[in-house]
Order: sequence, then structure tokens, then C-alpha cells
Amino acid sequence: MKKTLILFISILSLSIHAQMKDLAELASGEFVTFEPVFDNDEKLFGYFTLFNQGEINDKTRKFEYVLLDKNLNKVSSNTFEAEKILYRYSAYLDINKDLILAPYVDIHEMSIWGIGKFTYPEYKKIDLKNNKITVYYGKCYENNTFLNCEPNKSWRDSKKDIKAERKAKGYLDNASVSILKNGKLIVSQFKNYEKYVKDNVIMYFDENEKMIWKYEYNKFADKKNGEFIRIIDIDDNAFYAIKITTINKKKTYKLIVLDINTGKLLAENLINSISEKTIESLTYSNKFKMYDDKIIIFGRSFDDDKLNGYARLLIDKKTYTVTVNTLFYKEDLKQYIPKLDKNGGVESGYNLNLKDAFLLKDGSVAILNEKFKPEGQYNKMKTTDMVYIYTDEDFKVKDVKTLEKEKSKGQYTDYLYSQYLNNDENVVFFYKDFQKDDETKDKNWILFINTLLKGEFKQEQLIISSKNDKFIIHPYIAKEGYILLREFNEKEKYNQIRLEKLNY
Amino acid sequence: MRNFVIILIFLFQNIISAQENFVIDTTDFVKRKSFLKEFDQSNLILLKNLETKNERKIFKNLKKNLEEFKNEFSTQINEKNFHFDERLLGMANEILEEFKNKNPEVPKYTKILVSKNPSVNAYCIPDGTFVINIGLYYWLDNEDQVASVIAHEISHKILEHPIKTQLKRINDDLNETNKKLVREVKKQKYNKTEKAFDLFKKNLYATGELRRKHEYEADSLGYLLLKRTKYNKLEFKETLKLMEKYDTIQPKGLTNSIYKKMFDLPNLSFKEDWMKIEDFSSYDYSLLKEKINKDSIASHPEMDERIKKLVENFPELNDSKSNKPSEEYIKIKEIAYYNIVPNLIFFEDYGYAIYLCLSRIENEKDIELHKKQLGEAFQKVYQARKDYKLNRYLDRIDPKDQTESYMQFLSFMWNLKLDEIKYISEYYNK
Repeated sequence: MKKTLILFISILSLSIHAQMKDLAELASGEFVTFEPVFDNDEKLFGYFTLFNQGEINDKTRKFEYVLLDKNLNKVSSNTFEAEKILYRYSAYLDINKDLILAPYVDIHEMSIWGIGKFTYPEYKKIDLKNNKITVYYGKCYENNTFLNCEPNKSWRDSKKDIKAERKAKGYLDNASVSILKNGKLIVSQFKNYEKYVKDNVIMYFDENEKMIWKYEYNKFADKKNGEFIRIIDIDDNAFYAIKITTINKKKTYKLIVLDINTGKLLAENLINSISEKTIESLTYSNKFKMYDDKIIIFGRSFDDDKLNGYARLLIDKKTYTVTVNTLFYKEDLKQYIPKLDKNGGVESGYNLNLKDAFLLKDGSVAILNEKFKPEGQYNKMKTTDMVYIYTDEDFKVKDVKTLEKEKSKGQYTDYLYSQYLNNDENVVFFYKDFQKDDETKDKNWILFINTLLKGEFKQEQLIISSKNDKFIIHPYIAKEGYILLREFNEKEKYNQIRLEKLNY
Repeated sequence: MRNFVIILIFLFQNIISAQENFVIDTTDFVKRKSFLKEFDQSNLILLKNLETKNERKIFKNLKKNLEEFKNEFSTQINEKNFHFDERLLGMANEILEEFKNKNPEVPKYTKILVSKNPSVNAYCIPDGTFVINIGLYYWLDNEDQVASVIAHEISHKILEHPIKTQLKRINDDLNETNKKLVREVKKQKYNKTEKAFDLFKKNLYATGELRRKHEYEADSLGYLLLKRTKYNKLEFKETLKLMEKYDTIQPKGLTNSIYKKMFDLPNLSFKEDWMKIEDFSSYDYSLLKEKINKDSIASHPEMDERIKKLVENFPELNDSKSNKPSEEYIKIKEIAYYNIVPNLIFFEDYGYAIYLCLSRIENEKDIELHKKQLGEAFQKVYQARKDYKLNRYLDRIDPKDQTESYMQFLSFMWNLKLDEIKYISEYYNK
């Protein structure tokens, strides 16, 4: 209600004098970052905003942070000091719901210090229960004990320590600690012989740091042979990992399932019947999703060394069976994309460039590509249409949508970001396009909001820039089911950050 | 049966004619044009007057600011933000005339406007135009109270507060000592931000203090002006109390049953999911400390302080005697009542409009009329939601500043799906 009133009063305040404006700009500091903060369930917790308040002496600078909730309301704010070499922090929420700030260093400042003397700055912790900011050391595991990690040492001192340890034992003892959502801990420990690692152990601890079980592997390792484990999922019942064994250059991939309460081996299933490079792509893929009844991993399919489609690895959590399915460009997709060749090429030197993959609860997968032409000697990189492929739960193509888009030059992509909806059953993704209006002939940015709901594709368009109406809107990540729109509008009353609900 | 039909028709006609009485004449092009002409003139006179009283450099800045303001204000007039209805303006002018007649200090060229703004407020602009919100008629009890508000605004004009505030800003800006201070801050290698902030805060607090001083002065003089008129002087204190009470429009909290009552429709059954309120319990807002103390920069002091000071200066205000509103005031109050929702829609406050409609329906006031207005506001909400613009017109939840009832309302509104909003709007627009 006060909005209109404020509008009137602010008219007179518009004439805020020049000096106050200068002071206000100086006083707010230099904007550093505005980024989303996610909780342990990958849901948006809020937004972290950071301002550089400038140097307070020759070694230290001051930052001010502001934490906003998921609706952009202010939650907390404080200032803290940090080494001058730091130019920004990125924030995440840890298991205790403390805000951890990871430092980013200015390489230029670092080189002034000299690489030998350089000590990487520590993380910081903001306790959201009392707003106190302290140095955050994380948890380390040494000599069978958990302890706070030591403060960082300079590169030169670290090198000395490593040399001394190697000389004394012939290897380094390495261990990394991961704290799980339920407060339990996983320690991965191994001996580092510089050219290879050996005697790996994965240990599982309860919240009180009492070991529940351990799993040993890679005992026979040497320079040519060895075992590596990629942890995939740890739930209330089991521990899932892919174990890669290399013997005389031959690799085998196995799914390992351990009982979470005892460490007993529940399954050890060989993953085969597809090319080694495809399995490798799946094993190291960062596109995976864990559900109560299954784990889905998405990767690329290869014929020898050449890309020939997509692959999905599905682990059934009831039977521990592993299914790998493939989608080939030629056999499975050509009927939908006539100009598609067997290696993903389309018309005029463009290829299907994978932008994202959405692994839905029922096992179905939606694959988003953009037609992309790399930079050549005489031409800039280019992108055109988005190609959206979605499958059924058996990874069979259900439909393909070619979403026409104007040619963008010199820009790697027009894709923005995506969001899972309705408990990971559906998905929405966003991209933008600079299009000419048929009537006005003006070119404006259009935001495309695309939803896939129960296999049904729906698209909405939103004009996000207009020369005539003098506005520009930047879309940004928001809580589930919403989009954040930062509007810069000549009309002051519309110059605002909005949180808009998606129409699905 | 025939009797029933006759009664129904009779009642229906009554409703229509009653509401017709409260419909405001919006064919005000001529009046707006005439006001703007007068407004141009009064601004010219003001500038001429200021030119003679101020140094050239200061006048140049003053002129720039006032012209910017004049243009902005003229835009508001052209955008029809004001009521030119004779009944609303008539009472305001009558009050102003009474002040002019009884108080020679009141400039003769002053004039009054009624804004469509439903909040309980008024203001004075430099040329001598007083603006009272229609909300004053709605929230205050009688014309004595409206006169008290006008007295306060007239005092601002007599004491030249709007110009004094501008002059302070301009002088601060042109002041060599201040310039030097800012230059010094800019030159600082270390702690520049902190020093700039301290100086900025000092300036803000000083401006805030000056404006609060102006408020106290306007209260005192306003009371003296009121005393000389026919209006009940004891209402001055009562007015301040009411203005504090209705600082923001806060209809009584809605009960949850109103949602089921209004939104369980023939082809759209009520869904309990619509009432779900998002969880904000993981945030502790109590730790938030603003860097700038809101009270120190507020243009108005706390109402308690104003009342205290006023009673100290005028002990007779310890007594209170409230007059009954006149017949004319009751009519005008009703006009205001019927125009609050349309005005909220006019100012694009669709969320508040719906909230108020629901509140009035819950209190069984003009149910059919408010159902229609509900439909109109829902139609706007539907279009805005479709265009991804709803948050312009409907708040998002802010647990630290909103009542439970309002958060429930916002949750309900945001939980609705686009097609559900469409159906509701069509249903109530029938």
C-alpha cells in the first residue's frame, strides 16, 4: 500500500545531490557476486551477494556479504576481512547448515607474492545461527583419527613436507573425508607412490566417528595395473560404486554394492556388452541422478573412438542389475532429424552439441542439444536450433523437437539453465534467442520456457528486451517452479527484481 | 412468488442506485487541463519568488529540481492519479477556505487535490498544492479530522518546509567544506568505503532530523491554525492516533474458511493444496541488523513522540471530545469506501484489491459488488501471470514483515495454477 505513497515522496528525493550519490556509490562498495546457494537436497536455499569494500591496509581487504532467502528477503548481512589476494568467495551450505565461503584468488596478486611464498587462503564459515564468521578448516583424517585440517601452508613449505614424508616412508598417506547428508562419514584413504596409488581403503563411520566398516582394494597396484573406484550413491541401505580394474592395459568395469550397515558385498556385477569408451564416458559422467529405486547415469556412446550417440546406465536398487542402453544417431534418431549423420553432424558443418540431459524419476531421459558450428580460421563459432530428444523409460526415442532459433554468431550457446519439477518427474529448461518481430521488424531477445510434463512438451515465449518499450530483463535461477527476472525498465516502478511462477 | 420477485427487483434496484451514487465522475479532462494550467502558473510564481530570494547558483539548482518535480507531478495528473469529483474536492476546498478565512497566514493561492491513493496520508508540494489521499476520507472519522490533516499540510507551506528541505540539500551539495570532505574520502587508499559510508550516514541522519523537526513544527502550527476554525481542535490528537493505526491498509485478517467459501466453484473444486504455505523456518531473520537505522532517516517521527510533544505544548489536548460525522461526511466516506478497491486496481495493486474484497465479503458487506470486483482483479492477475509479470502486482512472501493472514493469502494466490486463475476470473466476471 505504501508503494504509491513512496512513489510521490521519492519524486522529490530524485534530486538527490551529486555528492550524496558519489558517497552512496562509494559506501556500498564494489559488487562482486550474486549467486544461488543450494541446500543439501539441491533445493535453492537463497542467494549470496558479496561486495568488495576495498582495502583496509596493504595486506587486507574488507568484504560485505548479504544473504537473501529463496524469496529474496534479507536474512543476514555482515562484514569480514580477508587477504588482499582474494577477489571473491563462492558460497555453499554445509551439512550443519553453515554457510561456507570458498575463496578465489587473484592470479595477478598471487604472482606478485611469488609462487613459493604463496599460501592459499582459508575457507570461511558463517554460522547462520549467530552470524559469526570464522575460519573454516574442514575435517581431515590422519593416523586413524578425525581432526580439523591444518591451516594451509605456502607452496614451498608444502613441497618440503611432501619431500620429507616420501623420504621417510616411500609414499604419502592421502585421505579425503566426505560428510554425508545424514551426518555419517566416508573416508577414502590410499598410499600415494607418486606414479601410482595403492592400498586403497574406503571407510564408513557413524555420526560419532566410530568406524562401521571398511572396504579394501587396489592391493596389487603398480605402475601399469591397479583399481579405481568411483562412488555413485550412498543411501540408507547400500553403498554403490563402479570399480575399474586395469590389468595389462585391459580395463574391466564392475558395479560394486555394499551393505551400508555391515560393508558386506551384496553384488559385484560386470558391466559389459558396450564399447569400453562408452562405459568410460558413463563412469566419469557428471550427469547422474539417484532415486529411491534406481540410479541413472547418462553419457555418450562411442564406436571405437568416434561419437555415435548417447548412453544410459541404469542400476536397479532392488536387484542390483545394471542395464546399459544406447541411442544411436543413425539408427534411432535419423528419422527425426533427416540430415543427421552417424557421428552427430547435421547440415552445413553444424553438429549436435549436447547442452544438458534430464534424468527423470521414471527412468526416461530428455536430451537437449544445440546445433553448433565451431570457430574456423575465417569464421566465428555459430549456433542455431535447439534439438530436444526425449525418451521413454526404456531409453527408446519418444519424440524429437527441433526448436528453431536464429543463427547466433560468436556466442557459444543460447542455452541458459534448467530445473527439475514435481519431485524430479518433470523438467523445465530455458534458452534465449535474438529474434526479429514480423510486424515491427525490431530485434528483441525472447526467452523460451520449455516444460516436459508427463512426456508432453510445452513452450512459452517471453519478450525480455525491447528497444521501443525500453526494458531489458535478465532471467536467473529461482526456487522450484519459479523464475527470477531482473528487469531494467525506463519506468521506475517496473525497475525491479521479480520472482515469477512458471505456468506449468 | 410475485411478492418475492418484486422484493428482489426492488432490492436489486436499490443496490444499483446506491452504488451509482458512489460512482465517481471520471470525465475530468477539462478539470485536469484547467488544473495543469493553474499548476504551471503557480510554479512560475514560485520560481519568480525564489529567484529574488536566492543566490543565482542556488536558484539554478532549485529551479532544476522543481521543474523536474513539476513534470513528474504533471505526469501523475495526466495519468489520472487524482479524483476531480466535485463531492470529494468540495469538502476539501470547503475546509481549505475555512482555514484561509480564519487564518491570514494561509496563502490565498493555495489549492487542494484528492489523490486516488487509498492510504491515510496527505502532503504539501512546493507551489502551494495540498494533496489529500481519498484514504483520509475512508479511514478518518469526521471532517474535523480531515481538517486537522489539512492544517498540518498548510503549516508545512507557511513554514516553507518543502523549499527548506530542497535548499538544505543544495547547500550541502555546494558547500565547499562538504566537497572537501568527499574529495578526501575519494582520495583515501584504505577504508574508503567505511569512511564514505560514515559520511553518507551522517548526511542522511541530518536530513532525517531536519524533516522530523519540520513535522513537529507543522503539528504545533497546524493545531494553532485549527483552533481558529470552526473545527473541533481536540480531534487533532485523535487524527494522529488514527493515522498511526491505519499507517498501512490492514483489513482484519481473513479466516481460512473464506477461501473455501469463495473458491469452491461448480467446475473447480476447492483444493487443500492451495492453502499450503511454503516453509521459511530455516531462516533466522532476527539476526539481521540494518546498517542504517530506519528511525534516524525517517521523514516523520514516531507518532507517539508527536502526540507527546503536542500535548506538552498544548495541555488542553489531554482532553478528548470526538464529534459525530456530518451527513455530508458520511456520504463522502461512503464514496471513499466504494472507491478503495477500484483505486487499488487503478494503481495495479491487484493483490491488495483481492485481499480487501475477500475481507469485505467475509464481513458481508456489498457481497455482489465485491464479487464483481474480485472477478475484475482476478482477470488482471490472470493476464499478469500469463505474461510473467504477476510479482509486479502481488507481493511475494516476506515472513519478517507480513501477518499470518496475509502470508496465507499470498500463498493461496501463488499456489493457483494459470487455468485455475482464469476460471475464477471468468466465474466472477459473469
